[in-house]
Amino acid sequence: MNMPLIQKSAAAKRRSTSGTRRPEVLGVTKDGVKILKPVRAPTNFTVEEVREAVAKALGKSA
Amino acid sequence: MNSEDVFINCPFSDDYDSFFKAILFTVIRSGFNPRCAREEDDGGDVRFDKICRIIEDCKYGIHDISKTDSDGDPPLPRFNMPLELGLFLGARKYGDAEQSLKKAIIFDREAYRYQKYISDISGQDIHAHNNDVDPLIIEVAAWLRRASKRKTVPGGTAIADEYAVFMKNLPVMLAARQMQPQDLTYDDDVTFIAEWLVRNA
Repeated sequence: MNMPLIQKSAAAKRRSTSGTRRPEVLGVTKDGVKILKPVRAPTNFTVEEVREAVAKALGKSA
Repeated sequence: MNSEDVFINCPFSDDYDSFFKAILFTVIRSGFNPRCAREEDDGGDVRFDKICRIIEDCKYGIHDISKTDSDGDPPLPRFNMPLELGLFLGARKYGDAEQSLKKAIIFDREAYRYQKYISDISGQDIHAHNNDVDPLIIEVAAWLRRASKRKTVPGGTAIADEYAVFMKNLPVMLAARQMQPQDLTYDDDVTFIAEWLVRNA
């Protein structure tokens, strides 16, 4: 089916900008799985606060 | 379309929160990037457009239609999950060559229950979690390993054990802010899981 020009334009607008995004790796687990860095920041915390809370709960230093 | 992106289509209610976190945990632990309609946006996004854009980005889709029940007053079924499942299957069917590579797994709480209310999805990859988190994690991990052909995806039982520890740690991590696990936003959940996994798994 041929798509009219105006619809093509709407489809182009809807296109995601993340199609070619290369994911960043946050770290690697002991079994070699790459844990990807979250794309967006947390809402109620800074990343540093999350790291601190995780370290505290695990009894490790941040 | 991103081969690391996994679309999560499930209820966003308090009674499903531990299941939702379990799916997020399994996806991140397996080395993928979770996506769902709860992602923060710029506020100017029309919800339907946002969901279409996320679906278009994702090679994989995890759909849980177990809560398509009647509730509220008047009692009406929740149709968002079947709608988003239809969009995902439609993108695979009618999209370009890349979109046709999409892969989906569908969960319900009992095997074959879907035949009573959405029988047209017969022939899809449908699984039952029996309202239990562990089978859900085990099935998701096995499916991600199979669908992506990534041998690095850990066994589901090991992920379920790690998830249990994470859920025990979570109230401790939130204590300083006097918050409960259900107070976290989607983006908070993703960051806590990823940071915890990097330090503990």
